[in-house]
Amino acid sequence: MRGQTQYIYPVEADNLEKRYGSFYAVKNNTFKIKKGEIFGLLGPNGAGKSTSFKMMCGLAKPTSGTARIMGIDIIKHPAKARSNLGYMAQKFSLYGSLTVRQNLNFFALVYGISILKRKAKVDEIIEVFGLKEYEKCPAEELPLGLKQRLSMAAALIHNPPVLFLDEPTSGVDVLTRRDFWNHITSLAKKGVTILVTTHFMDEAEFCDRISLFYKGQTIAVGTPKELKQKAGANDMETAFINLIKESEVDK
Amino acid sequence: MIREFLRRVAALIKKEFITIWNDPKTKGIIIGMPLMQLLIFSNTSTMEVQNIDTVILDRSKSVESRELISRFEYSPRFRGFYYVDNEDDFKKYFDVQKVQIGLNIPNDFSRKVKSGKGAIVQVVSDGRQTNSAAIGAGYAGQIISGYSNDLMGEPDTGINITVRNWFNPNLKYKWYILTIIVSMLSLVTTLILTSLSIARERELGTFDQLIVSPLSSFEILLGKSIPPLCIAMTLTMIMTGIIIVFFKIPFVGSVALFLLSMTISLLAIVGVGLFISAISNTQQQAILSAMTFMMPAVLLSGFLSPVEDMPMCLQYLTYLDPVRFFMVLSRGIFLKGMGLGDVMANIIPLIIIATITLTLASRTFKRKLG
Repeated sequence: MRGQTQYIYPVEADNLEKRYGSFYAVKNNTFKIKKGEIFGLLGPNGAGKSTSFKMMCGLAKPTSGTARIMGIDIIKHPAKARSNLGYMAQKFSLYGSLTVRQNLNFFALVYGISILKRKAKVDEIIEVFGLKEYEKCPAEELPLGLKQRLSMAAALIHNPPVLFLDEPTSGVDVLTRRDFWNHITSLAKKGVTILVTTHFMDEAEFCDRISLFYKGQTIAVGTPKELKQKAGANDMETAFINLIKESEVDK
Repeated sequence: MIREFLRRVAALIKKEFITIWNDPKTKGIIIGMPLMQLLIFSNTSTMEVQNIDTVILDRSKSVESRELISRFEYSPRFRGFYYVDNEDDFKKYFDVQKVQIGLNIPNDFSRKVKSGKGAIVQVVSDGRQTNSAAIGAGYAGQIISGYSNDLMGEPDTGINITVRNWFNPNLKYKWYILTIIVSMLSLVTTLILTSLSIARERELGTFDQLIVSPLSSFEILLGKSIPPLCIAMTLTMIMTGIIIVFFKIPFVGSVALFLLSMTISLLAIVGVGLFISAISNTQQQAILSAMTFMMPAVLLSGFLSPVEDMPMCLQYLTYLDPVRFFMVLSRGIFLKGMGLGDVMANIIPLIIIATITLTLASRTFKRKLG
């Protein structure tokens, strides 16, 4: 029974804080993401969304507070927590000199897929992401759109219950972006919990809930609809700007 | 647990090999550079003084002086001879650095030799090249005293010296230099390979991808140490083979001890390289830091001047230098057939250095996350 209560929120940020001297890059950041939810971190550059994101997956150490993935503390049990996590970096960060298949093979093994099941799994993921004709191509020679697809494939190779995407669509054309979000929403329907950072307002609409970041703090959390209502705006962009202005006035 | 651990480490090792092999630059570092340098060093770096050019001012022009000069002419050490008849020309040859040694035979040479009063011959050497000057003058001295002994005709009186050079009977400089060059080259290759490895991944962003994976620091450390170690060992064996086969340098020690001490020496270097790599953000930083380590490490190792000749405080410092032990081991086992006890005395400090640097490196992977 205890196990069940822990698993209600696959992703939890618990008072995450990052301080450099007296400057708070991230302050008092708490949120919980439900299973199958797409949770967006939104904010202008330097608002602390990247830092929060990094602390969530263990790439940066929080000054205080912690994060839990599937109920496992990322600081106390990093390896175990991370095995539940698929991670896709903003910058293409697979091995350029390895071929598409070699990259996927590598990540399959690292994420603990046994050698016997590996081939089937890699074949399957190559099929799903339409990488069949490129499988022998070194990753660095792929065009950007395909690189992103490969990164996503690598992040999903171990069927993680949680997926973290850091600006997954920056620099990608409109069609590939749409394609990408189709993938993301269908994954969410299958019950994968997704944390995504973005600065595209139209993409924010695809998220189930959004946390708006400004100067290291969350200034609003809610569905896109709620946020627009709260700000009295018709589109996300205006809502975004209004909410930021409001928070400035409050101070 | 163990199986998963091995699987992850094996995946990392395989990936390292593929990335090293697929990158032409890295391939150059591990194959082209060491073999080319082995060839160049083996033929250029020598401290033997040969082909000495000599200027001769013979004012005596006698049978005796001719005899002395011909002894120089037939010595394998001396090559070019310039005969002059005044001191200005004599000096000129030194000024333009055409000669390293000058021989000045005075007018009264023959007369004094005949009278048995003791003749004087002046040997001038070019002090700008301190070492060759001293050695060249030494050779000249030997020839002259040889001639002098022959004139006296009684070589058995007094003390005669017999010199025997152990471990390298003919004092072939190649024996000395090549055994060290092999270890130096594997050292440089290992250091460059390891110092680039993490820095490159950090530069390309792939290191983040490794950090968010379930790989532990220890697994990353293993995956990052084993491939360069294997490559460096293979390279060492190939180069050792080359110097034994092509340069006819006798390998007198135990092969097992040689391999053991090479592995441990290289492991200590891997530790240093990975530590440098772990604290660097870019490959450029890593290479510069590697060079900063290399220079003093080589100078303190006893490669250029014996450790015993250094000031006391520097001698203590050499105990921190893995290259020092590395050097003693490779030369000692190769040429001397160093025994187990002596080998151990040099291996233990290396094990300590390797443990410290590797631990520091694996700690720094994570510390760097900030």
